[in-house]
This record gives sequence, C-alpha cells and structure tokens, in this order.
Amino acid sequence: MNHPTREEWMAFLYGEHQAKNQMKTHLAGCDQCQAHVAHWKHAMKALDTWRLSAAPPIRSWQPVVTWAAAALVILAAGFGFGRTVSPSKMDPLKIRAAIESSLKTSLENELRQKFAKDFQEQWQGNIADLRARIAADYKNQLQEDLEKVTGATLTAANAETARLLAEFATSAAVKRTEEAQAIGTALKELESKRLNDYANLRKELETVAVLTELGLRNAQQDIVQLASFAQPNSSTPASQTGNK
Amino acid sequence: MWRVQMEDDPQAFAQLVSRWESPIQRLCTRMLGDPHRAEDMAQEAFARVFAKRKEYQPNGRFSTFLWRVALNLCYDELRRLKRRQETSLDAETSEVLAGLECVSGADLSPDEQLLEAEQGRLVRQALQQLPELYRTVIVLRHYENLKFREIADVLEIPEGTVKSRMAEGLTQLQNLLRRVMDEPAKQSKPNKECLMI
Repeated sequence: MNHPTREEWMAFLYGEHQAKNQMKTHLAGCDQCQAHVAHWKHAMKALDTWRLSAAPPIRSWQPVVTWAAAALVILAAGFGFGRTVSPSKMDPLKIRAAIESSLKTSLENELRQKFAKDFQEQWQGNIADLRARIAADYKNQLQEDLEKVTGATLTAANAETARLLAEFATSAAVKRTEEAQAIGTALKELESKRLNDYANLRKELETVAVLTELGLRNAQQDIVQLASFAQPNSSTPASQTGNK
Repeated sequence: MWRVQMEDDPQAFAQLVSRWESPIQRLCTRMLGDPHRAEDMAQEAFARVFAKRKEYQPNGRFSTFLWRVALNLCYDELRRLKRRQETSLDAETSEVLAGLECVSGADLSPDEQLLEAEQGRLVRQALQQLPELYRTVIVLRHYENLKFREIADVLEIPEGTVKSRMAEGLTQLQNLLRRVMDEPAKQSKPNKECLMI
C-alpha cells in the first residue's frame, strides 16, 4: 500500500492538496496514517491556543500602566498606614477625601509628564535613526554619482588625448614628407649644377689643350725655322774665313 | 512601494506601515516570544525597508521582501540573545504580557480561559525551543496563513522542503508538548502570572 508522503499530508491538512477525496479515502482505511495525522492535528490545535491581541502600541502605554499601579499601591499603603496609626476618632473618609484630590492631581501630572517624556524620547530616537539612515543613503548615492561622473570624465579625457595624439602623428608625417621632398629637390639642383660645372670645365680644359697644342706646334715650327735659319749663317762665316 | 522607491513619498510609506505593521509585529512576537522586542524589531524592519528601498526588485512581491527583512532581523536578534544568554526584567515582563494575551481572546468561562492561557504559555515556550527553521515555517503557515508556495518564495527554498519542515516541526512540537503536559507538577499547578489576572 502506497502511503502519501508527509509533504502531501501537510498540503492536505492546510487545505492546499488538489486530490482531497483520495487523501480522505486513504486516511479512512489506514491506521498508520491516521496516527500520524492525529499527531499533527494535536499540534495544530495546541498552536491555536496561543493567541495574540491586535498589536497595540504596548511600549508607549506600559510605563503609564506601571506608574499607575505603583501610585495605587503607594496610595493604598498610605491609606492603610494612616488608618492604623491615626486616632480612632478621626474619620477615615475625611482623611481620604483630604488626600485624594491632591494625590489625584499629582498622579495625573506625573503620568502626563511621564507619558509626554516617553513619547518624545521614542519619537526623537526614531527620527534621529531615520535621519541617520537617510543621510547615509544619500551619501552613498552621492558617492555613486561622483564615481559615475569621474568615470565619464576620465573616459572623455582619454578619448580627447587619443584624438590629439592621432592629429599630431598625422601632421608630423605630413611635415616629414614635405621636408623629404624639399631635400630631394635641393639635391637634384645641386646635381644638375655639378654636371653643368663639370661640362664647362671640360670644355675649357679642351680649349686649353687645343690652344696648348697649337702653341707647341707653333713653337716646334719656330724651332725648325730657327734651326734651318741658323745653318746658312754658320757655313757662311766658315767659307768667308776659308776664303780669306 | 513604487511611490516610496521612486519618489520617496512619505504618505505612501505610512500606508505601507499601517497595512503591514500588525502582521510583522505578530511574526516577530511569535519568532522571539517577546512582544517588546517584537515591537522594536517591527520598527527596525520598516526602517530597514525604507533604507533599502532602492534595492527592492519590483518584479517580486513587496510582502515577500518585507517578510524576508523581518525574518532576517529576528534571526539576528535570536543569535544576539543566544550569545548573551539574556534574561532581563523585560523578559519577565514579557511573560506577564504574554499571559495577558493568552486570555484575551475567547468567550470562555474563567476556568476555560485559565486553562487555555496555560496551554498558550506552554505552546509559546515549546515553540521557542524548536529550531528556527521549523519555527519559521510553522509561524508563517499556521499563524500568518501564508501558502506553502509563498513561504518557499520568502525563504528561497523549494516548496517540498517547506512542507517537509512543517511536518517535522509539528512532530517535534507535539513531542515537546506531550513531554511537558505529562509532568504532573506542571499540570496541576497553573501559571502564577495567569492566576494574577
């Protein structure tokens, strides 16, 4: 025989089980389950005996009740003591009437002051506590906001720095290219000038060479002429000397 | 809750407090067994809800969020009390007040009221002796009438586990009560505080 589980019995006992009739049928025919359920039902019934009154503001009235009880005890003790020690001819009713009004007034004042003080202290405490909590809450909120703003500012600053660095790199590259182009142009001009100078120098050297050759030829002719001119002169005097 | 969360509307928060003050105070009283501390815990719970209003996820139920906050406060308070093993005058006064609460309910004869008050006191004491995980489930289901599904949401555990804890809690509670009731001295001698009433 399959018995329902404890969990199913709990749902059944608190009216949350879907198949109530099946459970009832099983319960009617099963001594073991009946014992369990009876055990739990006893506990549930016992739980019902602990009743609470509708939550009154116990804390704020309790001191008043305590004070009132204490005052009544003192009043009764005073009255009893007075009756014991006072002469018999004194009328207790008169004594009671005499002290009742003054005691009543003082008791009323005392109770009122006590109640006002308790009430004020309790609410001051509550308000101070609440204020501290709210302040802490706002502080946390402010800190969070500050962290958010700081984070956003840092991100923006990083982005701006990156942009400026990129711009600087681009401008440096452009400038470097321009400088390289200028240097190339200058080198080309120097090369062409060197080639012109070389050509001019060569031309002049060739001219000098040609002129030198001409000069040498002229000198050679002059030497030849001079040599041929000198021979007759040397034979003539010899013949002249011989003739003589 | 949305108005509290987005606009810090004090009137809306006051409405929330007036709607949930009694249930939360009842929960704390059942969990701690002390109406004074329960009152403090209920106030603390609402202060904490206000402080954590920005963390509240609107896709979940507000009541689930509130129950959870109150329960966590009760757990902290129970741990604190356990550490200090606190037995103060407040606790004694609470016993008296709890006794007063026991008899405040029904249209019963004085004898029956007295008997029920005594039973209520024993139940309260037995419930305080249960481990917190069982007590929580019993209080939420039996006294606050939450469905097992809702309790599972509050405690963030499977529904089957909630039911299992409920069964185990009731079993242990009944055993405790039976043990106490069987003691003849206690059975024949009603509570002193209840007799004073």
